[in-house]
Amino acid sequence: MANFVSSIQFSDPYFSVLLLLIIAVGMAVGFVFLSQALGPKKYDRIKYSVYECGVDPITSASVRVSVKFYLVALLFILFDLESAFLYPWAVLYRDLGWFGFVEMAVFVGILGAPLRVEEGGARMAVNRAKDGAPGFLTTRFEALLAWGRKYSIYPFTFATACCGIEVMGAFGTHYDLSRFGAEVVRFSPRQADMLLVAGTVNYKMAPVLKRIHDQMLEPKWVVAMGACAASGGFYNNYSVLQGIDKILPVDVYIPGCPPNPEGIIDAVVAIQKLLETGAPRAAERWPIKI
Amino acid sequence: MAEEKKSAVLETLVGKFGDDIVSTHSDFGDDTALVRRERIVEICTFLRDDPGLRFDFAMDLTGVDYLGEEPRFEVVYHLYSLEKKHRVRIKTRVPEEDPVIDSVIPVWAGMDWYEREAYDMYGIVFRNHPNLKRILMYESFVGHPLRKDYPKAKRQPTIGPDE
Repeated sequence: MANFVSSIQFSDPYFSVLLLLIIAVGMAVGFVFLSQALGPKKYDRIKYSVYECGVDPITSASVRVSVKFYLVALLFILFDLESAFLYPWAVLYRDLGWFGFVEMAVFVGILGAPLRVEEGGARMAVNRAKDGAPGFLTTRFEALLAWGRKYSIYPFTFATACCGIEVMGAFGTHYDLSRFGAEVVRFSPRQADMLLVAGTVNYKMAPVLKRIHDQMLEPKWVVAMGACAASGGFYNNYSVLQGIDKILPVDVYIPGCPPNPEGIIDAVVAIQKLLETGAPRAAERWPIKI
Repeated sequence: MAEEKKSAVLETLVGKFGDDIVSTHSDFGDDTALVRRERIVEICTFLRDDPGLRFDFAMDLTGVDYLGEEPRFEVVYHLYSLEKKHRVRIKTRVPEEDPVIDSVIPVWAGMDWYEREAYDMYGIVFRNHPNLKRILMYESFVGHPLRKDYPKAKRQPTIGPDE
């Protein structure tokens, strides 16, 4: 090692390239572990539930599928694997001679033997649940985190009506929401921290929305887009939830029917301002527990 | 109005069922027959099977609430014949105190969800329906929202995820 270090010529023009490589890889790998270490985590039953569409499965997924299905799938993988090795072997067949033939026969025999399927190998460590991150972080550090979050908002779009079209417009090239850091739309609540409710939510949909909100990452923000999500809109009737703030803590309301894409940009900027000033999220002063 | 010439469809229907057809009209070219609810299944079976009628496509079934009239509710069937290319509208009245009518699923299986919708929205009960439960509203919803006396401002409790 010492020999290697002493052998480095610092005047070598490629030394700066090496330095750059170390820094680049270090940052990329470092941030992966940093976000794992610093992100607040709040695990509960709903977070650990398998399904992400907001409803419970009607039947058990493990009951109805025939065993034949798995066997076919296993065989497919088996043959793929074999053929991948068979090609180079076939090319060099003449050179390898009898040794190659016997070797390949053993290999095919091993792969063709019945596979043991382990039971319950991948079980979720549900009992690993722990509380939110302890408050030992200093204020300056919180500010740094907020600055980081400000430009990496991951939206989850819950589009149920015409507002959804405006959302698409906002993410498209013309309005280009990515200029404000909310670029990557996630369609799994576990990877998103901004719930963008765009459209009418009726009573039957309300528990679905609630569960998706519960499954999202902490800290999370909720945007009620349009008249319907904010207040029920003109659907003042028996079936429509009169504003999603009946069930969720809403941080930003966007008025309009539907609002234009600038409204969505404005909402993202408003959330960035909330982060900048360190104002509490709506969830932190949310009184209603359902 | 002078004796109006009935269309072939209505004439066949009246000729077969007579007094069970309460009234008919063909306003704006739409053949309509108001029938007695007790014989709705027989009438529908005839409409489907008669070689001259062949109403093989049940397009729609809906309820109507005539609040203040007696009988209060109406069930409307819109039928079409893919073979003969003609339509007919069958109406039947259902009283409020006994809002029951025979299901026409044995005649047209596709009427299943329409009948469930009419049940959900108006509370009209379809006898012999194999699965008569709410289709649009949730199970714990109380009342029938499209009835004219359902309070407009009434709100029901928000349901949990398992209801």
